Amino acid sequence: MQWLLDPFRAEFMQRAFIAAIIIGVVAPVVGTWVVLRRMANLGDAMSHGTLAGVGLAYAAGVNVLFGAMGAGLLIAALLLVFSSNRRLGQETVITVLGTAFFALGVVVISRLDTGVELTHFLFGRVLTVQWSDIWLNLALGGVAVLVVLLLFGELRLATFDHVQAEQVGVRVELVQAVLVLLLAVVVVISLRAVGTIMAVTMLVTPAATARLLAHNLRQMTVLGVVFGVSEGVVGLILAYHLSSAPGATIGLVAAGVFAVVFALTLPRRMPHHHRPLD
Amino acid sequence: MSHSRTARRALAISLAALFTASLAACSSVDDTSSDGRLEVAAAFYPIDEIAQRVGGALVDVVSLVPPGSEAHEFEPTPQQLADLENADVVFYLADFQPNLEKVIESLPASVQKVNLLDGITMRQIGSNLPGTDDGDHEEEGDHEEAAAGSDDPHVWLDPANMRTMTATVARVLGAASASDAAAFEANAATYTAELDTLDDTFAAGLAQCDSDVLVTGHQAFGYLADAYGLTQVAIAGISPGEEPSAQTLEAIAEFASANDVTTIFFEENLPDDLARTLADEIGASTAVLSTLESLSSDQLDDGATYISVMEENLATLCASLGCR
Repeated sequence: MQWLLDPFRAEFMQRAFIAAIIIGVVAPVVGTWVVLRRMANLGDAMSHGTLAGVGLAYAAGVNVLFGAMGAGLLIAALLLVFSSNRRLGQETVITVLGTAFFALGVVVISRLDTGVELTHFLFGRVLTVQWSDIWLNLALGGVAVLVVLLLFGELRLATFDHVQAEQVGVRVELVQAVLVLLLAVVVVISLRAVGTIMAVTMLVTPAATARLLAHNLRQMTVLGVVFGVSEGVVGLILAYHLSSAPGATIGLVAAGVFAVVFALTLPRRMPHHHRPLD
Repeated sequence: MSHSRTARRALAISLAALFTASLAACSSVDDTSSDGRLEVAAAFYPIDEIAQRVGGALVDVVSLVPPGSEAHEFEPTPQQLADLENADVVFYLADFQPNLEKVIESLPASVQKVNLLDGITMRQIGSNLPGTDDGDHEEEGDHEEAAAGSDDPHVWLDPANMRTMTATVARVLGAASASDAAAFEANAATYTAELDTLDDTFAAGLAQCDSDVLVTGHQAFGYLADAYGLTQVAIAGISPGEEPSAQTLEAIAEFASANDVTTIFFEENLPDDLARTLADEIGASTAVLSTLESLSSDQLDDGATYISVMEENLATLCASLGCR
């Protein structure tokens, strides 16, 4: 019992847990749609690309979270522009944009004459989360969850039934653009605590685990949040006792849960019938 | 365009190498450069200042670490590599700047390589937190395990060591240019007197303080702490790149609370976020101490020196530790 409570003693660890819980809620809510719409590679590109904004914000002395948000918005806008080119596949454009912004971020950070290192942003520094970061993450995360709940019907139509979506006037590309923005929000709120790389893990892995068990969209979302929050908390407790990198420990716990659920649900999926949601 | 630049750079480097080789081949006696002055390279700021003060106008000092940059991780540019190969003497501290030391090792025999640690008593890097090395230590990660027990390179933060290095520089320069030896000795004596005054000011300033615990960002101030009876506790290890674990940070917070620490110090040129986390945790404030590994361009423009920046450090320490 003491082993479980020890990590919560210091206030900076309490902040770390709050940050992990916020990510554990928001990432799977958005991640459900990322998994269902097969946009995981976009999450990856977004997580790397925001580094450009982080580097520039650091150079300008602005809160890096604002820089990351700015880069996320720009990537989302550019994606919309480049996606109109039918000759190039969406995944190609995504990769070109993501790696270009990542490269810009690396160049800017390597030019900074301070002790700032790339790894701080890639893997996060959970001990340095401030209360101001928590408030900003709560606000951004709250808006993201609200947007998903309000657009639940539109998201469902745009994802599963293009034809009906167009009939009832749901603009699929607009829904896609909103999701890209939500992706940026998830990366931003994960930045300080678990870093940009683990943001993708939290976005995809809990939602993917939930997809293996859920019978409908609501179940998948709720299960994803349950996995996300518990993996975040358990990962942090383990990282505290093992003195291991917190972001990566959370990522490993999430991957472990996925593996176990995958193995347990294997027999059910064996007779090759695909279970659609809803 | 970049192609022609690469070609020009390659040409410049080969010419420099050719020049050095011919110099080494035909002039083994006269090892001064074309304008007759000794070419002296200094590994980073405090050594730079010693070389400038001792050499005066009689030598040409090449600074390597650019203003405001971090000295540990410094890597010389190709231009500096050429300068180093042309230098008569290189002054450095062993085991402090690994990238630069690799380059220094590979320099031709015409360059005299002087490790200024000779004659200095090295302090060992202790466990980070006094009294906790038995229990918690094994969980603190490989870096600290490796660091504890090895030599602490931050010798220049004790003025007494600056005196020793100044004497070495005067001796080496005097041997390299015998006609100027008396001038070098005189310059060294002037600078040593200033260092003596600084030493006395520190000893007097820190004699009576409310607290003798110095909580710093990384373990840079061990010599300073030892010289003036302070206890250093560092958030990160000996190198600024290291990250503390949550448990280490917690233990430091408890130690600092128990010792009524009111200020957490962090270093210029390094992120202050961990110091702020710790300060928030125990309700302390933060203040900046300079490690003097490099001075910023602004500081240099304002005429700052080792002595003036150390005096600023003393003022910060006195205010934060409650010295009378």
